[in-house]
Amino acid sequence: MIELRRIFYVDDNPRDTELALNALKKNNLANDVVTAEDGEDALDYLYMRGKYANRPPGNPALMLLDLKMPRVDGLEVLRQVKSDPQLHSIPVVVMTSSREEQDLIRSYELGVNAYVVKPLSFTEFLDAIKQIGAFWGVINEPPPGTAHN
Amino acid sequence: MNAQTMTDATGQFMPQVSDEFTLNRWTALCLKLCQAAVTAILAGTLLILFGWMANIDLLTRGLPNWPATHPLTALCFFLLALGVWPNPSNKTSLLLRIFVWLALAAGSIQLVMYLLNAGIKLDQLLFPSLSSSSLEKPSRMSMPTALIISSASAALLLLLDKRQHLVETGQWLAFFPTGIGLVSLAGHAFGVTALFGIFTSIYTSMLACLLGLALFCRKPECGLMGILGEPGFASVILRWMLPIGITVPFILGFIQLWLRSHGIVERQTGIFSHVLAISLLFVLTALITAKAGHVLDLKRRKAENALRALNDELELRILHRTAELRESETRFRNLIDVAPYGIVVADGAGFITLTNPQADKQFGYERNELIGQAVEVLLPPELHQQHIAHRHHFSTQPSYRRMGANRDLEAVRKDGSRFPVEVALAPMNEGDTHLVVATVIDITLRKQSELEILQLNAELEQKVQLRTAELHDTNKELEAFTYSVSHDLRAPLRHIQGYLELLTEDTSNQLSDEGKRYLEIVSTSSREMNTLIDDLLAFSRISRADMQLQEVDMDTLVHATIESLRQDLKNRAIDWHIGELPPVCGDPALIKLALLNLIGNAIKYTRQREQARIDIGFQPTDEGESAYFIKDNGAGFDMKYIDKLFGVFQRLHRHSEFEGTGIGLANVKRIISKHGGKVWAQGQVDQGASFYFTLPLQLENSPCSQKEKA
Repeated sequence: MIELRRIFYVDDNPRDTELALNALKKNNLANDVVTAEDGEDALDYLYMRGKYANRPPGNPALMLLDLKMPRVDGLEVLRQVKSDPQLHSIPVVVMTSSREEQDLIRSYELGVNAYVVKPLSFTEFLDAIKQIGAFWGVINEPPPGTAHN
Repeated sequence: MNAQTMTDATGQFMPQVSDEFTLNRWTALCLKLCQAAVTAILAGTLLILFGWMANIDLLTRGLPNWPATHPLTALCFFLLALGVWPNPSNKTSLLLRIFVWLALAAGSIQLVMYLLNAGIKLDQLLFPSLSSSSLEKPSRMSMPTALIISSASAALLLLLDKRQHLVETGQWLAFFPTGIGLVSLAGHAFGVTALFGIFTSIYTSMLACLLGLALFCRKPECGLMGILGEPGFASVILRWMLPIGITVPFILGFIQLWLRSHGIVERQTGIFSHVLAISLLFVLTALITAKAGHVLDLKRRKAENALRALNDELELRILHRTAELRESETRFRNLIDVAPYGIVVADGAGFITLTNPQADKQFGYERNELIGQAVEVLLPPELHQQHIAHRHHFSTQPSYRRMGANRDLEAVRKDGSRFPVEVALAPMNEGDTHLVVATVIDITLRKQSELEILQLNAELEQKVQLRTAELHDTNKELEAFTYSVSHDLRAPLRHIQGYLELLTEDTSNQLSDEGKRYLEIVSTSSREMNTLIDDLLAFSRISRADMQLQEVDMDTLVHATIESLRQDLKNRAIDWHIGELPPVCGDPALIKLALLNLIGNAIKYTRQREQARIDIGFQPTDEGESAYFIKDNGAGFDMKYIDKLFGVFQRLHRHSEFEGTGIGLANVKRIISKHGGKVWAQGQVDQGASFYFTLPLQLENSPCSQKEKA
């Protein structure tokens, strides 16, 4: 059977999180999904500190990352992940509301794996999540040390 | 023999004469005469001595009853003739002078003996054959002969002296022997036998005359003879009159005597005609002389008058020239005096020779008080040494230059206060004097203005910096704002849309048709709002973005634009007419955005046409330049709203007719303006619209080409 890999979803807006989880569920992607509410929370999870000190070890198979977040924003999270030898192999897909050129350029400079603008229509969003989840969560072979369910 | 070499050889002073040619000729003539006379004397004396030795009377006395020439006399003449010979060499000169002294001694002894009446028979000592028996008389030379010999030898000694006045004395003295000779000769000629006792013998007379001639001709350029040789009127008269005065009466007398002795004329007639002839000659000579003198006088007076006239004219010209000079100097003075800047002239040693009133005023001195002072008084004391060095440098390389170039120069007033100046130096030569002209401009006011300008500039700079900072802040805020809009305005829209779709999916079977319609309206509105946000963001981005200029192929870009609008072309019949489009130099992304708006509008507003037609091309306009155009046969617009056409959020159609945000054409205008182009439109309701725009064409010298070359 197909191994289900852990997906890490980082977004400060709970509605977006809900819609995303909804979309994953509707696409029958039953992977383990971990969510974080902002950049700091996300880094705590990845480095297993604070409330995540006792979480099961291993890096997520995919990180879906929003950019505009309070305190530590998505670009900073991306920078830290891609500059850390322990974390830089995690595939990171930026999911954001707008195609701001400066964000696009900066993200690719920092080594993002994909950049997706959230479509307005839920149907289109559903489609996008489906493709991203299927590719990174199922088809793509993650680097060693990636956590499984 | 040449006169020049002669004077050189004898070392004689040559008197200055105007006509050297005449004098040269005179000198040559005289010397020739002198030589001839000397030769004749030498020959004559030798013949006489031979006559004595051979006892030939003809050679010693001429006619038998005439007194004979004493052999000592002949010897003395021989010695004197040798002494007169012109231009002897230095050695012979001394010897010849001894001869002359010997002759003088012989003559003088004879004279002294005559005076003492004592007889030393010198002649008989020398010539023992001359015994008183064979020569009854004279047993010795006669007294006149002794006078001739002694005076002639004295005259010759004087003549041979180098001193001018002695030579002249010698010439005067030569008259004495010559005179005696001439008188004796005349006596012989006229046969005045009664006086033979006091006359010299015929040969002695002849020899005396010849010797006199030789003496006179010996120094033709000096004393009396010099006068004769001159080209002047007096000399000419003298040259002619002397020989005539001597010879003509003599010849006339001789002729008369001959005629009478032959009985051809009587005594009275002879004397009468002789006197008449002499008078006639005298009158004629006087008349000719007077005439010549008169002519000369006239000529001289005329020349004098001409000279005076010339003098007067010269005087006048000098006066005129002086007046001109004075006027010129006055003009120069005025020029210097009215000059609006100070002028200081200094000489080579650095002393002031001239100042103008402005300079005196600038430096606080009385008029002309500076003259004679060193220029350094006008400079700060700390610069004195340096200036002296500069001054020396300037005097070696004089040229026009600015003093203290590229630095501030200060001058010092009499009271010690200082003021900023600008000084230009120029060399000026006045004859052999080298002067330096310094032009001094007081630049106090200019310095003040410069300072004010500097202050104003600094203030302005500060203001600009302040404004720039403000603008920068505003821009930052604007960027933050649009970034925020981009994310935060979209998120709620997406949530509305997302939950709406979930609601529709989950509960659509529980809703009435009316409920479903409401949900549909909410969905459409949220989509419209999303479009509005997109357009607004694009609009703000155009003004912020830096342009990436490059060559843009308009043909390709137009076709790509139409391709990207394919969604809007579904179920549409559009007749496309696309002409040739030259490339431009611009930002392709921005130009594509403009084309999207313009072509999109054309497609949108021809929606109600069954057969739509859209023309895209490039053509010359009425304004003389060429523009791209996009024409359609759609809804068009009323030209009275043309001012609103390119404004933000301005719409000329109701929403129910044609959807839109009112930002598209504002974007077009911004993009074209940003490229330095123009955009305008023409339209008529229901008759279609035409949009024109210009863009910088891709040419040889456009920025794109230069960039590619670089």
